[in-house]
Amino acid sequence: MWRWTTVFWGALLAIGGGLAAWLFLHELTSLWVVTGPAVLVATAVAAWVRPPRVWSHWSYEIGEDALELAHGVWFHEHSIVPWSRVQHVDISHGPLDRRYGLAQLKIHTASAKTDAKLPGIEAGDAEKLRLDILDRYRRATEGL
Amino acid sequence: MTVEEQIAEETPTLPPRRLHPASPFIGLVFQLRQLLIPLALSLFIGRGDGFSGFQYGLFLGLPVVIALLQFLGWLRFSYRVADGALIVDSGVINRRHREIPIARIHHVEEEAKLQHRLFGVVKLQIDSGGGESGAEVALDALGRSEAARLRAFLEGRPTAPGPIIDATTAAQPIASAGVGTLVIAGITNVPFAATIGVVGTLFQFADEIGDDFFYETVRRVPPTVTGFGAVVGAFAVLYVVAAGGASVLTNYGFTLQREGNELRTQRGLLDRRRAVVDLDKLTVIRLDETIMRRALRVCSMRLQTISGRGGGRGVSSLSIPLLERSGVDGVVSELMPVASPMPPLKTHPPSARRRIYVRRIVIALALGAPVAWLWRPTGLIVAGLLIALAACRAEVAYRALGHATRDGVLVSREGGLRRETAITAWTRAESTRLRSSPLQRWAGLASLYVDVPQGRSVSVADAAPGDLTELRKLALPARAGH
Repeated sequence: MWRWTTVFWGALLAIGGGLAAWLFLHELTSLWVVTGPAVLVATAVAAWVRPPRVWSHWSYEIGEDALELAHGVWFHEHSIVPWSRVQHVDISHGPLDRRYGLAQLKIHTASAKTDAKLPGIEAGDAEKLRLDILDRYRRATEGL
Repeated sequence: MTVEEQIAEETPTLPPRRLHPASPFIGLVFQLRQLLIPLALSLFIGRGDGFSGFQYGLFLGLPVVIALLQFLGWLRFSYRVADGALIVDSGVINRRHREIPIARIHHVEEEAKLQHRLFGVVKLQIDSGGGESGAEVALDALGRSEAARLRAFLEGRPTAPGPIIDATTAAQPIASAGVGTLVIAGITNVPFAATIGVVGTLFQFADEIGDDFFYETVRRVPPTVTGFGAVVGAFAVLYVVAAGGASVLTNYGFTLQREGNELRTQRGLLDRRRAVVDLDKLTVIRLDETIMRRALRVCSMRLQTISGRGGGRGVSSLSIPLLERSGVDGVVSELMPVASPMPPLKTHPPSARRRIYVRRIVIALALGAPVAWLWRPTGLIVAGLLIALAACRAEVAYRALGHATRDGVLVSREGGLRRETAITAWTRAESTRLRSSPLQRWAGLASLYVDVPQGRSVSVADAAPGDLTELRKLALPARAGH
């Protein structure tokens, strides 16, 4: 799915840039004849190489007290979100998610800076995970 | 019975009311100020021998349309207090109905700009930490007594309306500032380079309208030590007037007072602001020290709350413009008792120094190399100075780094010429993030971000990953049980 997303944005850049040059800057059209295909080739290479690396760096763990997740190829980020801080959980399915039977789950806290997004979860598991998170939230806040 | 149910039972009903009749006019002034530049451009762009009928129509018709919309908006706007909630209905085409439970309101701010003072009204802004960037409810024009009455309803004492800061009460202010203090706050707050930029722009403007005013003035100064001193003195006076004057205008009459669990503050000469904030909604205390303030052993303090206010660099109603460094602990003990006295900060590992030097000198080299190459030999001197300056700034930035934790409180300091010390309680942590860039990993470092409700996170930059992991262990298991 990440490969197709990369291809989509790369193709959009190549075609959109070419169209813009053709419509508004005629002198750049010839330049785009060279750079457009170059962008497409770079996109194809990126789509082949990058997603497996991104995927291999993604991990999450449902812990006793908190959700832990790690991601980032160059810039590593490791987040911890205590269950007691969960405000709500969103599940979203984009067109490509639906094509591959996947979903994206996002946990919200009172801070907009919280980084707790789980992409590429199997759609069937996402709902179970959401209920599990809400159950953990209830247990963590019991007696408060 | 929940707190909200109890408040709903105890709070009397305030029947539906409209804003002050001056509200449409104040709204019109605001809208016209926003449209001033586009309107002026529309008049002068494409002008041939004179203004076209369309331009006249736009210039005269638009204010009429805006005034009409403002009037309709005023007619459809109403507020009331019922069932323990502030209820606001608004909207001409799209109707909007908002209910904010009084129990959740934690920030009420009263603002009186010049146009408000002209009509003897105030603007009341009400927040419950609902996540919107501005105030959740803004009542643009209320008579002073009406504003006091509504505040009294929202503060749970409907029969005793009074001013936000009552000079007759025995409550001692936590902090206040006279004109002299405010002038020092202004002079030490504005970066000197920015002031030179503003003065330069003013002189350029004066040149445009006054036939080389600046050039002619400077040319008349004799090339002597006295003449040089006079020019420097004139700049110093301009700097004090501009920076000090701005601070006095913004903060005149500043007072921060505590009454029970509430913080009450007021400030402003032309635009007056008064605010009431629940103390338990305070998330972060930030101390701001410029290089001049460090030399004078003073600092300013900003208070970040759940509504997200006070976290930014700009002027906030929740800030103390200037206080002595020796008085910080006293103020912190009032605002966040658990953080007082502030623990001594732990220095960061020497590899953090290496990382900062490498980062700053690489940038200086990238800027300096082309200069050195293109304008030899002067360019080489400029590039050398750039690198020396980068090294000095790197050393200052490293020395600013420090953090400490004690009794459930995190204190972290970072910055360069302008240092910021953030103090927060771990109980405010919504989540934590440990980040590392390739350069940080090379130096064996990482940065920790503690995310608080709304506003900026508290960061501990360039520390040993092991230390940061220990910090998280101290914080999160305790958090999870709460």
